[in-house]
Amino acid sequence: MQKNRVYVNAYESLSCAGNTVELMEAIYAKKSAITIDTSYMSEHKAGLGSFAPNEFFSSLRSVTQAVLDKSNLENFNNTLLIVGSSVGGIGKSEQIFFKEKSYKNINPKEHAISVISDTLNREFSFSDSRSISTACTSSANAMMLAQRLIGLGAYENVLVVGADALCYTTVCGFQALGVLSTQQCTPFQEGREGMNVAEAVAALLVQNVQRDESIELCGSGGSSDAFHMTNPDPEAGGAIACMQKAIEDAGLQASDIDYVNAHGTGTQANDAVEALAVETLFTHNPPLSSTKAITGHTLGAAGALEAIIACEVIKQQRIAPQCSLTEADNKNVNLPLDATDKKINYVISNSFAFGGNNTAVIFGALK
Amino acid sequence: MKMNFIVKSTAIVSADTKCESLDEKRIVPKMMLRRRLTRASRIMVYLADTCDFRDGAVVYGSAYGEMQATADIVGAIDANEPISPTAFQNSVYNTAPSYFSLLHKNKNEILTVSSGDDTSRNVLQTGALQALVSHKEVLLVCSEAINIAKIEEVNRCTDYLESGVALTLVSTDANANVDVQENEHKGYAPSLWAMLDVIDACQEKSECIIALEL
Repeated sequence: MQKNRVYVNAYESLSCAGNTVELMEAIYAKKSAITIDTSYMSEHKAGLGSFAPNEFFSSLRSVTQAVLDKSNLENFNNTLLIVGSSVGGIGKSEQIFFKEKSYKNINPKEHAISVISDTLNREFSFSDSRSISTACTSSANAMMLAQRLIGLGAYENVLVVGADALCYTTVCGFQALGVLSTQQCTPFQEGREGMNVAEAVAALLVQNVQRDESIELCGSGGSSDAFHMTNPDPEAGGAIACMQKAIEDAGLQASDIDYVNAHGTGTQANDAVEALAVETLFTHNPPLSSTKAITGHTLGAAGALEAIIACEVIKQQRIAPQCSLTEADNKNVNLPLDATDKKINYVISNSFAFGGNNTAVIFGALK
Repeated sequence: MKMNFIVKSTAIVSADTKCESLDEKRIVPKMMLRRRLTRASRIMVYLADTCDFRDGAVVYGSAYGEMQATADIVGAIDANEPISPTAFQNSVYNTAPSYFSLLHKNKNEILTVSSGDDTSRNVLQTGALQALVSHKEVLLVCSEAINIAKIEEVNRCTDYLESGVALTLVSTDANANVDVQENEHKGYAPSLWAMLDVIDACQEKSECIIALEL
């Protein structure tokens, strides 16, 4: 079956670093937006990425409206919505349970992942919607589905929304796993402490038509580690496999990739395995960096947020430097310390999740 | 866009409270792995075994995910007690298909859908896409495992606190030979209904071919 070309034509985001323009300024200035918090765990400090005082659901609507305003569409009535989220409405359920010690006033529909698509459907009347929840690859997988559906000609327009709010379950849960950093995270740094949990809303309009500002969504690939529920395969088999599949899907060679936007959570396990995967697959040693040093790990929203960063890197033809790095753990990978102008045709964006769920997505400059 | 798919195998399980005959010792011989499985994971590996599926892409769906793990975490936070790391790692919506991948060393793509009452309709759509892209047999599973303490405070959707449905699909150029009708499946959570419709439609056919919207 012949594949149509697929384009990212409009996007917007809100993270602890602000909107997309502010986010890219922070990335290039290496200015982390993580704050040190004790409100979730009074006995433990944690670096978190909050977009307060913005409220989550109103931000969801405003970011989506901003994408519509930037698009060639009058409305989303002929657009499929694909949401990627890992926590959905758990935050509201937590608040009710903590206050009332009962589930009685929890609305199951407001607890579920689908509360996000329900909220957006009420406001924007999409032609159809679906929600993907594969933990931290949720919205990367939503991007992959969007590419495949438009590639096959099943849809003309797909809006991908990655959205996750901070909540007690994730902050305290990652603390229980012993992977939270008490400071701003330091991806790929020797002796790194761990990750920063964060929140974001990121939306991208993916279409079958090319515009002047388009970035091509060239390829995607997924894999499973089949190794452990939380630890990645130490031989990086799953990470390599998803990147190889994405490269093959895009009709490229590994040597065509000009920049790798890493999953790069800042945990010992993830960064060691991801650096090994990049070192093994990309023998031309392309620049590699993790923008989670700026935004924190936005969980199910990360794939969409970092897709926007990949598009911006291509538009600005400027590599995102690695913030908070003084001594690299793996010295065989190319971690740029400064924002540098460079000819950038292709960017690969990695996302990895609990359960050994791996996804890579490739974006390209228009030819 | 509608495409046609052969339904190769089907499976259903349900219980008012707890599915008792999931054959876990045979299906999951390693005790350490078996002990870690959530209820949804046990239902998932049972349904996959019934469909004789071990290797290939998987699309899993659940409207409410891993309720016991979520309840354990929120309860521990509220009581100011330590959270079990196992509860947290088991709380994500892709827990069940991930344990399936561990069990069978299945390194293919796993996608998890959670679209409320539309979950199994979206699992069918996503599974159809994955069957087209992979050119292989794909496993689709949808389950709800909500047998937790005080669930009666919020359960308005199902008589079965544990239920699951599975089928496997391969794409085909042949014409559809059954018409899938939308029905109400009393007692089951609405999130399972669209896949139950397919199983009903395929009951009398030796080779069932259905048309699915992508």
